[in-house]
Amino acid sequence: MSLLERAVPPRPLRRRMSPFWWLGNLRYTIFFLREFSAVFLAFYMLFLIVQLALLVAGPDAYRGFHAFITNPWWIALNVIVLLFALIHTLTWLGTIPAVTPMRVGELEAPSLMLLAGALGGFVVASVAVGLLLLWWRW
Amino acid sequence: MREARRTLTVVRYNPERGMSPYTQDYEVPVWDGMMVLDALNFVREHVDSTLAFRWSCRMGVCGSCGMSVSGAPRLTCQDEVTEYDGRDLVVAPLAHFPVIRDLVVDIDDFMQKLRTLKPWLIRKQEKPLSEGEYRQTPTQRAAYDHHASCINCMLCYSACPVYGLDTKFTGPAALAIARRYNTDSRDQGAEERRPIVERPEAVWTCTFVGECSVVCPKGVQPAEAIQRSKLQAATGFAIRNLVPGGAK
Repeated sequence: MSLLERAVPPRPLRRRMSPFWWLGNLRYTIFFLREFSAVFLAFYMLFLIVQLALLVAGPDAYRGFHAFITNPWWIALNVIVLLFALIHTLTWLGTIPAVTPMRVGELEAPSLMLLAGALGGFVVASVAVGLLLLWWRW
Repeated sequence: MREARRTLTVVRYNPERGMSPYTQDYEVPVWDGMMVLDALNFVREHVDSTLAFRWSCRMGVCGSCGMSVSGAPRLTCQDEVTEYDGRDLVVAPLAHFPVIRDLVVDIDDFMQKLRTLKPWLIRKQEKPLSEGEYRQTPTQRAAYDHHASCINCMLCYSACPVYGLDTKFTGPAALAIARRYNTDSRDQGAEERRPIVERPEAVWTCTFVGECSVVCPKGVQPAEAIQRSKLQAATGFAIRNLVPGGAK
């Protein structure tokens, strides 16, 4: 230890992060929404499990449940869940270029191409599931 | 012609004066191509010689002059003062690190973590010098090239809220450097680094905010390095535990 270090003991200043750090810039906010959206997805998964349980319980149980889920406030809540599900999907797809860069030899696929491929796959899969459900209903 | 001037606000801390940081405004001249570091040097040379900050090369190579400029981590030698025209120019010490004095932060935590990751080429058996250098093709070099430009400027740590909330996290630069060596065709030390890279407070603590890659002045892409290391860790775990004979 040098003489100077002995003369002035260091008293470093330790700073704490604000609880609102995620409002500090837009990318932090998008990250926060991406992580927070998982709460809504978990809620919807629980909702589906309850729905299946009531379906198994019989027509009377399910009829009461059906009346409950056609409430306007419940539909509004589902719209919010859908919005967060979209945020979740799009923000995670947006991470693909960083997680799985594609290199062939020294050539690297542009990030936009990877993003477009991921989004394209998402749209095709969504349309396929939608068509399957419509076909099933008819 | 009247010389252009502007206000430079510096967040200061002097442990001999008390434990609270305070701000101090300085009037500085502005000239073409003036960087924030030039403004700080002007203050120290002409206005207030007590202002403490680190700098060395002035060309974005040494990584010493990283500071928080108007809320964002920047290399001050690469940050033009005119970029802040029309808004406050506030220079503060890099976020998330203990402040020693004024704009000087303590980065010992990073240095210790980096050392544990063995950031050098490891060979199981060194070949004699007479056999020549370890050769590498351009493709092999391209596999780690972008991770090899780290200058330890600490902007990525300052931008990382995960590190800010929990300093036990190994952090972006150290993990990017570990990946740089693990993907180098000349290196044989990935197994030695694996217990450090794959422990809970290393790659698995990263929640992929991605800001480390955004602020990196050298395009090192720590976020990519960490996510790729996670993928490799998960694949390795599956092979070791699920494939017969995979543990060898």
